Amino acid sequence: MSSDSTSQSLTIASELTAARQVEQYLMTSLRERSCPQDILFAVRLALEEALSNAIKHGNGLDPSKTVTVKFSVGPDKLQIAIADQGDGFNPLAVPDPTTDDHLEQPNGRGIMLMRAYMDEVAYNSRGNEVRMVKCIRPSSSKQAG
Amino acid sequence: MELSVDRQSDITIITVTGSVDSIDSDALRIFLDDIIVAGRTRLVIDLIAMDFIVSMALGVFVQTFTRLRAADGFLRLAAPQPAILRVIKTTALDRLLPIYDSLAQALE
Repeated sequence: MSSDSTSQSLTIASELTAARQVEQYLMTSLRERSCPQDILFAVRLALEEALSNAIKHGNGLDPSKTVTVKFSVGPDKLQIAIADQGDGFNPLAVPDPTTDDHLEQPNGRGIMLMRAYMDEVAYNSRGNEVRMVKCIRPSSSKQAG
Repeated sequence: MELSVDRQSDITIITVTGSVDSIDSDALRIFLDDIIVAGRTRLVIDLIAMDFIVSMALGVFVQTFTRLRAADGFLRLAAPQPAILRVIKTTALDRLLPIYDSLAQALE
């Protein structure tokens, strides 16, 4: 994380209401930097998906476990790291939700959306922490509609 | 998120306004379940005023679609904004869910 970035670390309970507060906090920070609407949409979507995965699948909604959210807002990019206290998983083992076999499944689209809307998405080797990067200049190559 | 319901002949129109996040998705699921349990099996969801969606809400659409299909009914999505349509297309659900450009077209 660069030295001219605004960096923060938050630890929240394994509750979706706490995730919503983190999301609102980060969105406010990005709006203050006049981020374009498509960037706000993309970051919010990826953050929602990652936090939901950490709380529900990582920590299993266990109230004794927490989720740590670190983010850094620099002049041209946003970095987010979300870690849960679960056993982790292999993201490469998650099936492609767009295949005919999985299209009617109600779940399994979150990681795909994170990858589609962020510029970088990477998991640690244990699979309980995801790091995401989004270029936040208007000239970003990925547009969110 | 705000939800409202209307009827046009035997079609039930649900209008979703605002953002649908993970918490809202549960409320949306319950709302749609109640409508189906009440015997309504021909549903149109008007998305013209929806400005944000997450994968959980997409899952609710998929579950509702397959449930109504099995009951010889239907679920149609109407007038999604470009940002919402892009999320749907990214997940390839435009191959599964019937999407119409306008509410009028969805009601035909």
